Amino acid sequence: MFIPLILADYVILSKICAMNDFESAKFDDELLSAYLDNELAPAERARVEAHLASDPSARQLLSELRAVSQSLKNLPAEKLETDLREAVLRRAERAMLVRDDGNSPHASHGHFTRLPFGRTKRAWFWAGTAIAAGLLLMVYPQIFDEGPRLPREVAKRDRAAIPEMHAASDALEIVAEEGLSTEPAAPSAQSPRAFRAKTVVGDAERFAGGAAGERQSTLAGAPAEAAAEGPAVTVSDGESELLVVHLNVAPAAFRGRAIDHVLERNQIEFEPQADPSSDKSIPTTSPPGEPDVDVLLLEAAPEQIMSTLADLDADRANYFGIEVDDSSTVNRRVSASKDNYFDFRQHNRGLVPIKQKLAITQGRADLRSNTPPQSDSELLVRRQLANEYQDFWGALRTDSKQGRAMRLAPPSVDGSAVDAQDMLTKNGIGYAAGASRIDSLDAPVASDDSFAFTKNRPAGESQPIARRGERLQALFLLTPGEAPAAAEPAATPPLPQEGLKKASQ
Amino acid sequence: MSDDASCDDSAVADAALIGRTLAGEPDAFGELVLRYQDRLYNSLLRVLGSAEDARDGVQDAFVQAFVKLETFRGSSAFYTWLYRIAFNQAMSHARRQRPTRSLDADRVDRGQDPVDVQPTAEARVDESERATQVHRALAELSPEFRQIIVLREIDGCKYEEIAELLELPVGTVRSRLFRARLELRDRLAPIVERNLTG
Repeated sequence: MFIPLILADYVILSKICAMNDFESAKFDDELLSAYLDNELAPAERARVEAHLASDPSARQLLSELRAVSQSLKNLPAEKLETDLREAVLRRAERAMLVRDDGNSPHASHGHFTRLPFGRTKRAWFWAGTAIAAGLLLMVYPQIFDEGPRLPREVAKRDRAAIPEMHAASDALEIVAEEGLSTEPAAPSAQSPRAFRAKTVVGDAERFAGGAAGERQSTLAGAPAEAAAEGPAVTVSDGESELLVVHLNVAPAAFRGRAIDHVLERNQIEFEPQADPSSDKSIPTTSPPGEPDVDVLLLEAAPEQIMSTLADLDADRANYFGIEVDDSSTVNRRVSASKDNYFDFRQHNRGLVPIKQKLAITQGRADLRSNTPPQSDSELLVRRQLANEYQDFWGALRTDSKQGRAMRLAPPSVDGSAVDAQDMLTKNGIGYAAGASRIDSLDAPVASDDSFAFTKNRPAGESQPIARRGERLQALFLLTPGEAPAAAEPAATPPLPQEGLKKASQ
Repeated sequence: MSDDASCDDSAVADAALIGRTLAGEPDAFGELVLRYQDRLYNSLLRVLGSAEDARDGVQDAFVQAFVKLETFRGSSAFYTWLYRIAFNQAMSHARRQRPTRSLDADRVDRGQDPVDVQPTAEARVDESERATQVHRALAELSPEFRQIIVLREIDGCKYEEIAELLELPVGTVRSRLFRARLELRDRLAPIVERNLTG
């Protein structure tokens, strides 16, 4: 048998080495590999070099290791000839399409509950929440980082709990699939994939005839716009947005919490809230003077929230300005801030310190766990809000066909109430009294399957807020304001006790 | 041969692209794909042994990264994270594909060797043959050895980076790499020997 001389030599030599000094030879050998990679500490390195100087077998081994290493490094670098972007994005969006925890009842039916729309739901949720709650300190419970998103969970559970909604969902899935086949994949930031949907506005019957009829209220006061074909409505990927609604409210209505009646009329009920005074760990910190912001968390069917908005819009005596923040607006604001990526990290943690001027652009600190509260009162507020949020968003109510609302006590930090307008402005939420009423700026539209706001955007850019059969989360921010100077005379806006709903039929 | 010696790349630029992707611009993710597809391909090629599998692997990894993008914490470099996804997928792929080691070599033989796509001019016959042999030897390694060799020799990762990627202690990286090199040497030696004897 012919054995290469070098190899034979090595075999003999290594055996000699092994016999002579088994332990240190073994140890040295590995060091040679690390030495080759320049991964040794100076002291070790010196030792190895000394060893190499004295031991030919070590030198031999080193050269062999080097040869192996070199032959690998010499492998020609392969490049893909193709540009994978298109394929990746197409597949990715399809993956988003069918991605499911398997808990949804739809998973078992193999339905497509979503159409690709981009990648954004969670980021929008948090960004919207963070910005809107620039007024608040929010500490979201841990599960948001680990488990499925809460709003989605809530939505799925509600679907499971409300069987009659499946009928509507099935119908929309057919539409969704049609849309999928007719629109070739061409994802882009500017024109998310869309399909034509007949949008009908102000069609009370259509709303009322949807699933879960007993929960419906007729959509009253909806802007009387022509029910036109199109605009193309992009369909969300199945997860509801967080709707952020800013309302400028007449002081009397603000103090009297008139909105509560509007909500209740739309079958959105307030949660019974734990009595804060029963929690001994949180001493009562009632802000002195008038609170200047009223924050409501809502969770209900989109129809209910749309109907509520319509009611509010119709009540021009009491509600001067209504501005809806949809996700694209929120996105623009967040994107405009520097250091995007870390903003999203921060937003993922849902924590926006209240006192910071740049609530959006914080430092790179991990705010969730490591940033200590600035003061004791801040800590208390955090905990209080955390409990409240957790209770509200996290509650699983098997009977929650009901729309739910919860009022957050406006926090005070260091004993002074938060200046809502100031916080809004600092967070880039421009807001002027009397500005932007629903019908002029942000008409809600409803199609067979989804709800959206068309903010005077070119066709194809309106983004759905929610789909039928889903739950919609909304954050209502009410601030007391003054009637705009050129306000039309408060003709006969009946006080919210009247049946406004009948007006638009 | 990778251009960059290190695993690590421009974290800030990646972060911006990630942020934009999460904000609703899928095209920003396309930039990330463009940025890393070749490097990832090159690595996966050595690990999986087949151009087709590697190309699929790259796509799979990017798709998975897209789907899971919001879970990326930013505590490591994006490419490291992407890498881990790719390698995890590749490893489970390799395990499924490999009843015996020779199959990998067969796949290499069947013309899926990436070296085949290169023009083998006369002057480069030796080099390409050698590369084929190296590639085959690589393919015959266990996945753990192949993985660590590729990370070190192809991707130029430092031990610490490998340790982070494979979630191993640095000491294990060091010893495993050493043993992998020994095995490669042993596999390559007989090949050399065969060539000499004809």
